[in-house]
Amino acid sequence: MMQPNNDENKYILEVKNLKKYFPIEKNFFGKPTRYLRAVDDVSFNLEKGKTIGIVGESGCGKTTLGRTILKLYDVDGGQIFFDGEDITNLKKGQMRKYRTDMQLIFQDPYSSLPPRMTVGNIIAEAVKVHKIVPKEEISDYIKDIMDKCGLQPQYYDRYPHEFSGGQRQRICIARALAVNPKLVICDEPVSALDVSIQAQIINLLKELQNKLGLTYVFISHDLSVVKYITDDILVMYLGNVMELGKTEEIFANPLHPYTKALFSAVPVPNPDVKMQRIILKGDIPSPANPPKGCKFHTRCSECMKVCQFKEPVYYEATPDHFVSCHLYNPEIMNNLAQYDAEYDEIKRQEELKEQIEMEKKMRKKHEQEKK
Amino acid sequence: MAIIILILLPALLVAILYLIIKLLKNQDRINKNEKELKKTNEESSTANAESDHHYKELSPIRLVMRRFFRSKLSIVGIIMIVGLFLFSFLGPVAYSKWGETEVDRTPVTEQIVTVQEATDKETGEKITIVEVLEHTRDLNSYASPSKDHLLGTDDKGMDVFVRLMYGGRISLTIGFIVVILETLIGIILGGISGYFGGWVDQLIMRIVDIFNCIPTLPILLIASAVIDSWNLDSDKQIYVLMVIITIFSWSGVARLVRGQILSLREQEYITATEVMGLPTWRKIFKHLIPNVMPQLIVSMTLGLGSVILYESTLSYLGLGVKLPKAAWGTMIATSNDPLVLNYHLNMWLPAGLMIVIAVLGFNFLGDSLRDAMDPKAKK
Amino acid sequence: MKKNNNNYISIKESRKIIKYNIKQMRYYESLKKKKLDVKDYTSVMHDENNIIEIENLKTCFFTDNGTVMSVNGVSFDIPKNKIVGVVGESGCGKSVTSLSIMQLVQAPQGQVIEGEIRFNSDELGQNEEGQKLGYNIAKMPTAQMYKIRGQDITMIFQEPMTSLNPVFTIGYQLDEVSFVHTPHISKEDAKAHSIDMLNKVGISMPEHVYKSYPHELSGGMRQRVMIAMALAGNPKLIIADEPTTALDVTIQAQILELLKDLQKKQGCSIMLITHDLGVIAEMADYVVVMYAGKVIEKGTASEIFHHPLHPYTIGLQKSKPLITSSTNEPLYSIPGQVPNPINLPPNCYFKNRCNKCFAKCDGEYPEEIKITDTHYVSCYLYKEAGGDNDATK
Repeated sequence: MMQPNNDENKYILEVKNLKKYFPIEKNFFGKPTRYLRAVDDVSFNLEKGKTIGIVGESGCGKTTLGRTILKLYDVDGGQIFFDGEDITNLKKGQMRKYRTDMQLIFQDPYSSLPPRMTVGNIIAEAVKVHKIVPKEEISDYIKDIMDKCGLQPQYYDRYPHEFSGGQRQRICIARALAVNPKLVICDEPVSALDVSIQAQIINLLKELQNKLGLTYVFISHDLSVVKYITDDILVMYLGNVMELGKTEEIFANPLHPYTKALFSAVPVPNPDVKMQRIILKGDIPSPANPPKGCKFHTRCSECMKVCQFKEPVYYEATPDHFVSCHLYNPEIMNNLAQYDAEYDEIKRQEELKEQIEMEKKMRKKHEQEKK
Repeated sequence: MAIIILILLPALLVAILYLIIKLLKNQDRINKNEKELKKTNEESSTANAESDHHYKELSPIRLVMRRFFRSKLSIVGIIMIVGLFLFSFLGPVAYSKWGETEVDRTPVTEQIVTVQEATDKETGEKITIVEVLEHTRDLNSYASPSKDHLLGTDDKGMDVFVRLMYGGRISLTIGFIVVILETLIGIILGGISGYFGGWVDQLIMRIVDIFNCIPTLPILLIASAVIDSWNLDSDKQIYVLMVIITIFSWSGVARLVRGQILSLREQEYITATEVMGLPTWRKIFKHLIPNVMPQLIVSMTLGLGSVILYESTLSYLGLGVKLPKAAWGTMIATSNDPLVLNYHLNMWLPAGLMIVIAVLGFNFLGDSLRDAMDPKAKK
Repeated sequence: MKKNNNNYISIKESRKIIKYNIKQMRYYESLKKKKLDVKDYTSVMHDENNIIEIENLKTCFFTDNGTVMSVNGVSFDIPKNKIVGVVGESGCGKSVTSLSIMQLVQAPQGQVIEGEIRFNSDELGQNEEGQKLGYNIAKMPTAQMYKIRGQDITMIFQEPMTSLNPVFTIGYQLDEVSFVHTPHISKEDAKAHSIDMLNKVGISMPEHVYKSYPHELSGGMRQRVMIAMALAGNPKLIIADEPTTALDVTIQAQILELLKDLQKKQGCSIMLITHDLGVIAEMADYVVVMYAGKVIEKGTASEIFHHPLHPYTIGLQKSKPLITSSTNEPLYSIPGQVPNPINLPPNCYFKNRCNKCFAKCDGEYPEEIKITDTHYVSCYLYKEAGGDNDATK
């Protein structure tokens, strides 16, 4: 099922309408009846040597997206192209060929390193298995990688528990880079670290990108870090893409009300700048039971009647700047009255249904009382 | 009996004395504390200055040891188990006066003296008739503890003390072999179940459920009776016994391993192995199993105690290790004779004590190991 | 395995440490058991407008690896009706400072070994010279502390998921607070009070939340409930230990707004512990910067953010990329690691990571230097107010 893509070499990663649903309720025979739509219809392209940031709050599906791209989960819909080749339906065994090309850096440097192996062995393990360098050169090769990641060679024989969070994260990066990947998915690589260490790791990641020509998918909730390191940004909310575009463009001109609120919620370390905050009302709805229509409408300050029943479509508001919000869709905005009417109609019918059901109940009660 | 009391009493006295001395010392120390504190403070500050501010920490092994020895019970457990091992495996070598099945055939002459009193009808004098019956047995059975037989002999004239040691050998050997066997089966089945999941997991876990709801003791009794009818020699019977106990005890280990692997699979470093594209066998044997080992060692230690109990129970019921082979269970079984129960404590009480020591020792050890190896435990 | 690894403690050293620890712990535990008169744990407040004055506080933990000086001579004040932010990286002792105020340091390993924490209580009047008296929490017996803890000083924890008991309803747990602090309160009054509290923290359906269990609420809601619990006793000081770290940005904004609002309405002080400079800038009136168990700089928010003096404070602010700026320059990063809290060197702890280090830094740990009335820094780069300032050259 290998399909060569049109412009093969421009994009290293293409994600098309990717879906990942987790079953949350099963019937007696083990057939799922309800799904949690962790990733719902996500598409983006990523050029070689660039970084895309995936931003969102907890439960928005950004981690699931990262892991689905790595095929740690089975795909439930859509396609993933890696380097022009369709990897969507590859089996585990077939995927092993691509494993060295795609790597993952984890959020928690404490649980992501095996506690009973030395640093050298951790980094060398995959190198040995995939025979990336001849056996005699492994030790030198590993020490070279360690040096690149700012680890001293004498750490080779030590165990991970002897290191602090920042150094552990360096070990994780060294482990990922030892297999010569083309694409690295960084899943919140700095959010578990202290501020002064964060800067070190971010600089390291950036330096390695320049040196080795790496491509990053940078998953984070920390907008200031994302702004600093990424070229593109994908804003997610409850499994859906809200906005996608160039980083500068999005920060300069956020379109989606959610993106605006997200940006204004970031505290700025300057006591004099009291920004006019857009404070969102309420909590993030449960991803297992998302609201109808636009998933953001329950917290949106500019919610319209359309939003409550019609899911917004992905719309290219300005070149290369996509947003899924009715506000920017001329087709909807021009026919607002019509949609309002439609909404009223739906509401009315719902009310009618409710009334009928109520009456039925009342009647039943009556009958029972008569008996 | 007397010997046991003789041994135990001084031991108790020594223990009590030691405790009292320790308490007194503590009191002393508290009083001294304030003075010494200043001193140690000064010492440590100079020591700190001398060291090149190089940070050192406890090695992982030392950390486990430290946590292990934190409770006194672990030391008691170790002493019990080590003592038991020395007693059972080195004891017969050092004390080879009697063999395991050697019968003391020195003839024993017993005098049975009956005294009768009667009154002379004519004189009214009291007459004492002493009747002395000399009876010679060709077996030295039912002997009381003496120099010759430290704990006396049993009903067949075999030395109780020596049989106690050989019984320990059997119990410990059976215990170890069974535990290793059940752990092997448990790792394989539990590992497959936990790693692959799905219908394999369902199948294995249902089998485990079935094994869990079989009432073990009745089944063991029936099985042993069946084996009994095969008329195997006593050595082979022991092997069969091991297999049977194993069959009924692997399910717990399998469940433990499965649970551990399920929780380990959530760990990010296992996800990392997936991302690295490591082969399945490497993931299981290099990453999963070594991390289950600590819990397994704990469960093995605790398992040893229960296997020894099983073995003793079966032997007691005459279904396990058969005479003339020595086993603690069969030795206790001699107390079925009310005469032995009442008048020959030396024949069955030591064996009972040995079982208590073995099971308690292994449980203490297992408990402290669990405390020591639990990664979530506080330092 | 037999390789001689210098990174590990030898058996001999380990024994020494254990012996030393046992001795120390026994000593401090025996101090606690002594019967104390009220006089023994009251002392004079330096300024009656402060709710808490911490002076030369030292808290340490006796661990198997050696003695950890978590808090090593910390002094700062929390004025009435103000928010004091405490910033620092993990392990700098900011949480232990707060636990020391609450007397919640885990004994017997953890002990307050020196210093005073003066709490300005209304119960105590003035002494003969007209100075305000306060409780010295560092010496206060635990039984006495129960009266202050949870009533005058309350705490909000970082993890809203685990700080509520999952088997009781929110209402039950809120009522409990009222029962403890107001002895003869009736059930109905307690409930009314609890619902009132839930209303105050901006929960829209208090009756419903009152009846629900913690797992039915989201993280933000739980944190609101925690705040409600903290407020139930009308506290004078709320210690908020990383209250928003576990929350999402949009929820964090809500909670911060709420805290600020409540602080103004209730007229209490907040000690806000966080590692996020943004949160501090947003909320705090005064800022205390901690590093390796010491206060390295303290001052008003504008002093710390506009005229940071200590190289660490400067580095910390530069190393965080700003959402408002757009540069592609490599970030400024403080090199090296946070020093391990065991066996700290006698000189400045920041020496090895400092880019402005000079000969004088080899000396003892620098004293606290007064720059303005509110601004203090411990660094050899500066001299007492009035002297010339090396950094500005």
